[in-house]
Amino acid sequence: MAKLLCWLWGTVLCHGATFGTAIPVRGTVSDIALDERRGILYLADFSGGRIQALRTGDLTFANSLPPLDAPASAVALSPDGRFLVAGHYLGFPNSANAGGLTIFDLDYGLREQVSLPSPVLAVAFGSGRLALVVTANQFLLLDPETGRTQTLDAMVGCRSLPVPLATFPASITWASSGVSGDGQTIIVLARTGSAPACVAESEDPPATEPASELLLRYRVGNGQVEVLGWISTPPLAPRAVSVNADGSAFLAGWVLFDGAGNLQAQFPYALGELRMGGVAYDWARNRIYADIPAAAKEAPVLHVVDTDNLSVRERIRLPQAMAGRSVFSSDMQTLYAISDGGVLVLPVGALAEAPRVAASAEDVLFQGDSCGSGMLSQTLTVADPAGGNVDFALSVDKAEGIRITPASGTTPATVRIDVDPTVFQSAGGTTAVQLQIGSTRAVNLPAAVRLLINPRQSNSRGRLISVPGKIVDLLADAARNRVYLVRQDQNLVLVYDSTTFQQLASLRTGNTPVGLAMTLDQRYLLVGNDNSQRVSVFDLETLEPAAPILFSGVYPRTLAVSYGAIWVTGRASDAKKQGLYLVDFAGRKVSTPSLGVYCNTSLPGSCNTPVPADAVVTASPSALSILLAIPDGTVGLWDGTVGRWAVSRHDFAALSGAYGALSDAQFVVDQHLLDASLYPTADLPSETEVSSGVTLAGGGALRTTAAATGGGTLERVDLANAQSYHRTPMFEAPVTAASLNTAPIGQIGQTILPFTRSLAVTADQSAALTLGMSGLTVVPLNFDAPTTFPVVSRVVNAADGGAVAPGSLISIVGTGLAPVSATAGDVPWPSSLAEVCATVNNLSLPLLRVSPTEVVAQLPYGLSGAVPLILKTPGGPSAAFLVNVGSAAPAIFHSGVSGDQMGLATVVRLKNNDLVTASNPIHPEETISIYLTGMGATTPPVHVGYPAPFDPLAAVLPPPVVTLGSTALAVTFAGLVPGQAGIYQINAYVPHGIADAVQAPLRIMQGAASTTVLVRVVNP
Amino acid sequence: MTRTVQGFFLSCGLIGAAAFGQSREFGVIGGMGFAPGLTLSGPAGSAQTGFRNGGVVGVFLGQDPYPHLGGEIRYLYRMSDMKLSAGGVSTKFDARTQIVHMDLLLHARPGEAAVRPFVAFGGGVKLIQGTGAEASYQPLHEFAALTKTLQVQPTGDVGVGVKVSAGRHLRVRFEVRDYISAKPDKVIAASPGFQLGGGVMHDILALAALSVTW
Repeated sequence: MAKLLCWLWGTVLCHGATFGTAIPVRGTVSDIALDERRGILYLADFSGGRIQALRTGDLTFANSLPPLDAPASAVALSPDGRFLVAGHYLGFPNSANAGGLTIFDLDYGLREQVSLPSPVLAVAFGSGRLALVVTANQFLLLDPETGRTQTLDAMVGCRSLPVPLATFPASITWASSGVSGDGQTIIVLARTGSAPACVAESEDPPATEPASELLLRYRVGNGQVEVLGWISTPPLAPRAVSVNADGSAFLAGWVLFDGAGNLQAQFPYALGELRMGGVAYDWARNRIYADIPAAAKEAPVLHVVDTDNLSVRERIRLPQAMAGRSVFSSDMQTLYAISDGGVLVLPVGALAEAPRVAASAEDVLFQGDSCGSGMLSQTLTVADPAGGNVDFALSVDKAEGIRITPASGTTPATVRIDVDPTVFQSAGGTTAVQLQIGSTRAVNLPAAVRLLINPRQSNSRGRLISVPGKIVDLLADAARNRVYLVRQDQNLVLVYDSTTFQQLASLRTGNTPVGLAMTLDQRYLLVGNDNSQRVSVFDLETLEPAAPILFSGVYPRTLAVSYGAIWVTGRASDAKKQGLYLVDFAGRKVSTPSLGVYCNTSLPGSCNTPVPADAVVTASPSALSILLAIPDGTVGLWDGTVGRWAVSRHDFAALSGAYGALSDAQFVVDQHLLDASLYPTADLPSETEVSSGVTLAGGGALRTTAAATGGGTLERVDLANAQSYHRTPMFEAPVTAASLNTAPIGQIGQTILPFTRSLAVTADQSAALTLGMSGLTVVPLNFDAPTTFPVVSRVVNAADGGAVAPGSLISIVGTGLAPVSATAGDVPWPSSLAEVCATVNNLSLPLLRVSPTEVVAQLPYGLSGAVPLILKTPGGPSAAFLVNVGSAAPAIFHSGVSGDQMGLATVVRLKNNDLVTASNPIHPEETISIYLTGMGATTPPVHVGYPAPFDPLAAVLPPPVVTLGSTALAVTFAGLVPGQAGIYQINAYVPHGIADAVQAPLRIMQGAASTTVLVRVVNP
Repeated sequence: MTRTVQGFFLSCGLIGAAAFGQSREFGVIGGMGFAPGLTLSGPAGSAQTGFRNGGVVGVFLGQDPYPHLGGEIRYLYRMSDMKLSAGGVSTKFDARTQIVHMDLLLHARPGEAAVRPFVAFGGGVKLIQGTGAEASYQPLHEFAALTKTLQVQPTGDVGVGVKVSAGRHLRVRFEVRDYISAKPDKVIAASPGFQLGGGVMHDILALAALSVTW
């Protein structure tokens, strides 16, 4: 329906609103300067040869400054607002490209012209009186008051005039500058040049070639200039620089540099097109705004990202693409940016209040069960983070079997999603359906919600721990009973308790983390990042970041820690640096030594086939060996006992999938078993599956595989005989390189290697953990143990062990009822728990708790008479057990605990909110609350297994009759406990004249059914 | 109050005593109460319970219509926290006791004697009130529950003492009384299977008083 509406209404409605205002400029804007004293934004109009003036109040144009009669390439305003310095090409077209400066004294209406031998590419003022001027062959310091210049040596590149039609300033000047918030640091980004500095288009270096970039840092306070050189592929574009408040970090094009000029993080997908895009460092909000196109002609999107690792927080639609420099107003409320067609005015201070739309969850998991239950339902909240009322429309890429109610509306809204699991049954495993959120008013591009649908095959094993995002690596920490997961899309390592599977922490990595390793002392966690030239290091005792390991020109990916060596695979920005890298952890140093008798990088020897970026390394459990696996079929072995790369072989045409060093003499790559010499001793059966993970478990090994469809398999590997056995289907397929590779979203990084590490064993050796589409699949390590056939011997209510009624919490008693004990989390309760499910009249029961001898569940409403109950476990289905369901069967829970007193009736005095006992007897003129089950349907009705509402309360009608001794109590409420499932509450008032009794009968009557507990009453 | 006193004397058949020049007495009294423990016993063992020793204060009004025979009415407030102990574990529960009773006093010497030993006996009402904080869990709950409630019991008392003249209208006295009542089975509620032993409960009060006569 939503798609139909989009089609009917046209694309404008479906594409939504944009943020900010685009001001068209008749000309081409090469630079801007903000004059807040006069309320003017000056625009250097390159092709028009003038400085245009835009009023910031009403965004209308004032009269331009007197024409320059030369292409205006740069403009800057002195800190006191008196001098406006315009840089330009000069003499064109009558002479060779020369340059010049025009200094406007805005206070006195004067103008001064300075001629320069080469074109001016950038001008910037810091907090001092001098302006830094970048020309094609020198850096100058200009005193605007006198017009005098002093020269700093450097040579930068530019394009000479004339240029072809539709060529924009950034593609001509190749330079830009940015100033820190405190005005003490000016950063200039330019292209390194040589004489002649400006070249014709025919000499223009192609964008695909590495560009030689020049970063210059000018410290205003002491006049020091520091020049950093970078080789960049593609060029550092857009040609925009933005510096933080104190100059300790800055953006130049698509790269975030730290204060020392190290590459801290980069936007993963950069085109290198000089004129498209822009960046702005918002130090007031600790955010970066960036429009970095990932594809040519893409719709303009402003990425709101973190300042440490460029994690994408939000994506905002822009009316026009940024195209170069941007400046903030002094109160940081407004960002002015050069745009594709003029100037953008972005009220970033009001972005938090702008209409947006977002879902309450990244993933919504629909888990079926082997009982073949009916529709699976989940709810999702769609809201405007600003709290506003914004329209939305929801659509899915696979509509069959999915119903969304409502599919459109206004925020905030709770959306119910119903899934028919039978539609997805044939696909096996988990099917991911993208739920897209559209809006005509929202300015953001909301992330799609993944609907993860797993109907569950009856013979599959495991339970799912939902972990949203792209999880690409895992590592078990036996010492701390944790498991670490690399969440690549948000640049995080997630720390989970491997017993409770509660998330303990999230550690912020560099951009696009890929692989994990731990130091030998198990103290530090190392993380390779594919879009940061550093290995992130975390202290596992404190879960705080430690000093990173900095790489130069290399993006580390996977790591292996052995005695005396930490080897790292990575991606070099320069092919000559591609290789295998050795880390000195204590000294935080990186080197690329030769690999014993084998060559490493292309220099100084001629290594025709250096270790490629998509190779992986992993260490053996003893840390005496490191296995290197390369997709071209080559393997290598580091022998830690001698400190040498001892073996390298090439026995396969290609390698991918699972890899592991199971011991110092047994290695696995894909389906191949390798011995201590890496000689392939045997192949494990693979049929059509792709291997995903391999790890040691007990005396052997475990391996996971995934087929094109289905849930994947877990099997044991007999390493001695090179055989796999006890092949068992899993609930969800493990990840593979193919399943992890999805279409990139904006500037969210994605680096998927052909090899996968997706399997680990918990510290207590009780379960195997596999990475899947939904997160973690936990499979008990006794998955292949003989299973017991379930036998149900008794079904009673879970309160007092008596009769049951519709909606009762019931206790199913018997043997072999579950392979392990497990308890559901919060309501709603699942219909499958620890691989157990139950039905009555073919209706699934929500399960609260399962164990081998007892299952606690809730009966559906609408039952009556003798109904068959069937329990299904990995051991098979039980025989049908007839349960006699009455219309009502009130039963007071005997689950109260007070000190060492167990099994107390759950009757509570509201006066002290404590259980009634002999020492806390009922008194006259007070209210008691009685908790029970089995009181049947309510008004309004409540879905079985779901929490009862708070408003309105779900009441039992007619209310029950309650007596204490021979006295009738006034019932003030009888109904479901809000927020609970299947638990009822009666509030009753005890009158003045109640008689003393050591054991007075407290009786609840509902129709013909009743229940009684004995309580003490004292008066007074 | 006056009418009640007259009623007491009427009931004792002493209405004609005023004609013999009897003296009247009003005083304040205080001391300590000592309550022998009670035993809770059952198949699962036994525990000691009862009331803790505590201070007593009160007032009394008396009359000596005959040289050797007198009577008085008395109000006493006794701090009497309840206690329960077994197996080295003990617990307490705040409580108080109020007693209103009337006695006959037989004096060994006539009224004008400076020192007058006496014996007393009588009866009245005892109000035992648990005042502690209620909670579902109380230590030693398997034996009994010490309860926040009011229990009213008839009580009898016997005692001996001596009155000493300290001036023309001033007397001091010293006495010991034993207040005997039924077991307080409401404030000390034995758990199922347990019983409070001992038949009756004694509460022995050692008292001193200062009074004026006219």
